[in-house]
Amino acid sequence: MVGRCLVSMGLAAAVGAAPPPTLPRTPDGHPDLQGFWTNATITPLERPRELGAKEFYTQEEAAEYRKRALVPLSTAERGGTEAHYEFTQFGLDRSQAQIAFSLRTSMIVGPDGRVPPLTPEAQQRNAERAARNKGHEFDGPENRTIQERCIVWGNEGPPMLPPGYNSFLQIVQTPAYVAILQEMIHDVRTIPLDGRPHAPQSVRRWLGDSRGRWDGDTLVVDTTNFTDQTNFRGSREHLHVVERFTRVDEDTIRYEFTVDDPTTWTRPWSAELPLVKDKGPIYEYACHEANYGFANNLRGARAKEKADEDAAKKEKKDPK
Amino acid sequence: MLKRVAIGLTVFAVLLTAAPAPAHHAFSSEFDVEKPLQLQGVVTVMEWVNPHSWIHIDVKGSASTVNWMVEGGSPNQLLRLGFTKNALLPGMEIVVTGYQAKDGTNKAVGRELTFADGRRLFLSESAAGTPK
Repeated sequence: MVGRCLVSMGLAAAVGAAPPPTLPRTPDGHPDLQGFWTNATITPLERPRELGAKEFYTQEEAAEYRKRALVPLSTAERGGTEAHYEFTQFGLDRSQAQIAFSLRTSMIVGPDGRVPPLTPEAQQRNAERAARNKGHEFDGPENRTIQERCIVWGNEGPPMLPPGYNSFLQIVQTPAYVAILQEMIHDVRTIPLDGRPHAPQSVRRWLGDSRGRWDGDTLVVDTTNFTDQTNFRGSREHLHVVERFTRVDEDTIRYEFTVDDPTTWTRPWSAELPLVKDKGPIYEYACHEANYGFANNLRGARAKEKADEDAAKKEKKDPK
Repeated sequence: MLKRVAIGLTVFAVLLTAAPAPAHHAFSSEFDVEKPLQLQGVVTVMEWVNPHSWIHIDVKGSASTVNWMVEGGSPNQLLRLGFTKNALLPGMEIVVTGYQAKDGTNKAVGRELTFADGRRLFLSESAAGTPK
């Protein structure tokens, strides 16, 4: 297969199992999570409704799914438009990349496999925001998403979901801290392990305020204090994330998370995906070093406005 | 068994269309699908920059030579695809098929890119992947 993909099919079977005694460990005795990892995936966050409560594929079904998923997608399917570069030539199509496989039918665990319904409050908030933004998406730089503005990329989270491309991260670990560098878009999350409390509520951070602790052989990271511009599926400053990192074998970390925000979802929800070992390195992704596309988008919008204006003037002067 | 496979295929089709849009920014608002173009020119600069690479080429017209900028993938993706800094050097002649920028300037997104003799420039499958 072109992708020369690693298979961590054993991951699902490993859920709940004790880690093997040969698990790599740091000198202080904790599991060693260090190294380069990828979370590139073909598993969707939410389970397709057709699959109902089916949480895992059989080996046979998973093989068939992989075969079909690892065919290059058309540009429009991947980029959302035909006016995009061809991924197999200018990018890295997922059929060419390393993928972290699992038998799961969705990253979200449990019988539903879906994000729970939004609270009425969140629905209203989202509707108001959408109405406010409608027609103003390209008014100026600050109308663009925080992702496009290179402030923070959606995958950085936490929770850390695959970014779609450049899906690599590096973990560095000491007895006092764990640091996670994500290639997209090159931020580092530094997580103290010394039991200190969260920062005061007045301190708000794009990546939130993370605190870690060891629960046996699992690293548990609790994150709060996000900004009001954070946007994880509509959850903002009240987002609370608990992540669990468990090294299940030489090549795999099981990454689990639970998110809750009573102002956004009707109940907490949890997901799981593998991080699979990569040879590295991580490349710098200096997101704004030449972000011509950003200005081009705004110029394109101005050009369209002018064309519309000219057409309206012409219509007025020379009605049909 | 056949029925099960058929159901599976439907589901897979649904899953595949749910793939995340991987572009850094809105290409549909940057480039105009109504303005397809083909350019043949000589590379003047290859900008290995984030979030997307840009290839500058001189395109000879009947009256003058015009410099065009062509947008491609992120340098990180291109490196993993097998690119090197020597893959695209000033003086190389290439043909680009793509779409012009909406603002009407000499910028384009490159859908396909080949050398003037038709060889595909990017290494694609033969050099793909990043096995450990």
